[in-house]
Amino acid sequence: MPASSRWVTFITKLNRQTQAGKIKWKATNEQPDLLNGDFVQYGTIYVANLETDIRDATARIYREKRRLENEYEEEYWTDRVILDIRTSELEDFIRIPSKAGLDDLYETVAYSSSRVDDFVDTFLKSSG
Amino acid sequence: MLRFGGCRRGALSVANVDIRCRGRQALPSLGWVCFHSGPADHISRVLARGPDFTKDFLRLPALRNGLANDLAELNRLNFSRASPDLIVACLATCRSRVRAVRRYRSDVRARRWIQVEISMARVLAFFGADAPVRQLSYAIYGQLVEMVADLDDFLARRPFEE
Repeated sequence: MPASSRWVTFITKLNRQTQAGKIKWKATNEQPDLLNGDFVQYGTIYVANLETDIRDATARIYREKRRLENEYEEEYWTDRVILDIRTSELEDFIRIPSKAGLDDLYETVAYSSSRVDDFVDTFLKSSG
Repeated sequence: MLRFGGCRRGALSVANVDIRCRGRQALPSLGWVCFHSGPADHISRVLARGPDFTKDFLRLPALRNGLANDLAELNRLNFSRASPDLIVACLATCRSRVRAVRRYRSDVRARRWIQVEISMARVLAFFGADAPVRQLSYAIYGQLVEMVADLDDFLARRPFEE
């Protein structure tokens, strides 16, 4: 399997397991190494534990907005979804390549974490 | 002459290039081409190959974006446990995109089984089999995302190929 396809398969598998409820993501406000500044801002950060037979890992997904300048010194903001993986508490998070399917994974994670389904069910059952 | 108002960086470098394209379908993808193609000499090299190649060059990115949008919608339908009829309708749109991609010259692997699987999902939905439709939908989604990634790889290196 080519390296590119490997990452895509990894992302789609994460997406599928999130939808199946096998991976639980938790929303956090801040991470020690992700601090908002004038040039970079982070959205809600979702963290999850990925368990395998051999070793576990921590994954986090978030939206990063970065302020850049073009050759005419005009400012603009880029916006993209980032997925990081850490295989040990002592090590740093590793950023995985930006591939197709990351935006969909972020949407799935945000949906599952916010428990919209539960709210809608409760809302529909409530009287009035 | 086409104007590139509203495009992001990179558009300025090719603003004076006279791009002739057939039909209006190619127009929405121009912004993508400008942004991803880089220096103007690469654009000129593409244009020098003639209108057929230029049409392919413009149409494939548009199809890639269309397919990615359809997949985002399919993903929403999957995680929100939508009706199988809606899933099948979205899959049918994806199938038309896959067919369209195969009409243009690229080294993206043709996934013929996807079309068979989509047809199977439609038959299953007709008979009211919800769970198999959802399973198929997950599987097809994964394969189509790989196809989008292949298209990204192809489009990223094509302007530089001779």
